Amino acid sequence: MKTTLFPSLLIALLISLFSASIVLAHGEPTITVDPTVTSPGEQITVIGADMEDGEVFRITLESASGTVQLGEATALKEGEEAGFAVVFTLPDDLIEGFYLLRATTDEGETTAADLTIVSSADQANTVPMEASVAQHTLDRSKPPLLIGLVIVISLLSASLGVWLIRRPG
Amino acid sequence: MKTNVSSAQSTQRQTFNEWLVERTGWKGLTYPVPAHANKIWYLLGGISFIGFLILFATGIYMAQFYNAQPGDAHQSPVYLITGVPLGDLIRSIHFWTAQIVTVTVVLHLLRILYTASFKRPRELNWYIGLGLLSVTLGAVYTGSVLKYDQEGLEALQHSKEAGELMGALGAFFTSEFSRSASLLSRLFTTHVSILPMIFAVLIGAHIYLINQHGISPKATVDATARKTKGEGESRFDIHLRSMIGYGLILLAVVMSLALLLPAPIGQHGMPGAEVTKPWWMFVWLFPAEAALGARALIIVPALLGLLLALVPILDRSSYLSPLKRKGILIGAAVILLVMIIGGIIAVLQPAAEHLGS
Repeated sequence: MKTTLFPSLLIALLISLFSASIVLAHGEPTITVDPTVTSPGEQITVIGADMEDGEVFRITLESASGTVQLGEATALKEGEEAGFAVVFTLPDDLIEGFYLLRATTDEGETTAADLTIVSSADQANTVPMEASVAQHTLDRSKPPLLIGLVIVISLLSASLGVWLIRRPG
Repeated sequence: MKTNVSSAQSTQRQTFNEWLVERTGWKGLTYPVPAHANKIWYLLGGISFIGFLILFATGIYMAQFYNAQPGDAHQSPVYLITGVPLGDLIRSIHFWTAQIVTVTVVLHLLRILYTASFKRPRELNWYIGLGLLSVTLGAVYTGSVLKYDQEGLEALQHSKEAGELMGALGAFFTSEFSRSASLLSRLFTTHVSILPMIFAVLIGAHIYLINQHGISPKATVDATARKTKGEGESRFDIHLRSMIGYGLILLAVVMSLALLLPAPIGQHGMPGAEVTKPWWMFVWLFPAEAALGARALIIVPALLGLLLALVPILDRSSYLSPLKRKGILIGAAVILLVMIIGGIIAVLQPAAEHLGS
């Protein structure tokens, strides 16, 4: 028992890593949605990639309250891989919240992306058009009283700490 | 007259002490521990624990203002910084404590490795320690996602892709795991409840086993691994006092850093883009990711975890001295060096797209 436990665990780990690597397989269909945060009645673009030429996908929106059918999209070959880019208009009565945008074929092949529905267009517009590494420029200044208080507490904390460490046993 | 006053005060203090001992039993904390246990290298675990207490306290405050809906998630820390009393300071203390705790946890692991404190009868505690390291890194990762800026969103997308590659094992990290809760809100739950609960269980077991085995002997040339409970020239209450002392210095340091260098927050994230690099705790993975794609995020940590798990199995002699364990220490040093070089390369490399590769 003692001698077989470790090899067994090692084999289990290798199998799980191997199974992970075979799921890696390129060619798994993927979809992305743009924008990822929007509001009811707005348009979204669903882009499919790594699909087979002619494959038909049903596009649905899933949430805890049910499934909304958006329509269908057919993958067409462009270069070496097939895909699609289809624009859908979201229903006006869509409830605010988190949705899973799912593309499914009749054969059961499925892929999904996140979509968040917010109540107003203002909230939806907070997502930028371009990615940026820049930091938010916010007013981080603090009142002098707070700065003074933090300095005093830090000094007291450090002094008490040093005293506790150096205090003879 | 003066003698009478001082005698009365002394009697009062003694009465108070007796009252306190009767109610708290704190005299039970005066058991012997070795003198070397009071050195900073043997207090790194305790300092990390105090760091976690700071993280819990500041995290509870921050959680009152966080909305884990993807549409509002980024606005929450912005509001915390600009509209909540002490919000920016508390968030920055949380941020800096997380950075320092990661350092102390890693240094604690390296100290244990160097002084062979994982050897019989302490092997089980080594594995619990590895669990605590995973919880620490998991908390750092989930915490970095929650701000939902470009950096956070990219971290989320990477874990999502790694989760998809892992199939059923990684299902938790995919959007499809739940149709009623977003991955972001589930990572928030993980950050504020699942990981702290696992931490509580593991740290309880960690402390219990340290108490059962005693602090490991000093790694002198002929020292061998053994149980040391009840041995030592010092006392646990002195050890605890030193630990609290360093904890107070840690508090002073993070408060000062929070004031001087407020925790960063980037712009709202744009899905699908890859323009940032991971935090320093994970940046060493960047070159591996460039070579292997998202599968590096599974394979490299799994291999590293496996190597750490193998340590008590590979280094089975009873000797503690680093001089008698050169092989494993050289191996560990090489791995550490590779990670450091990987980190330096990653810092020098431009940000690149790895998703889907």
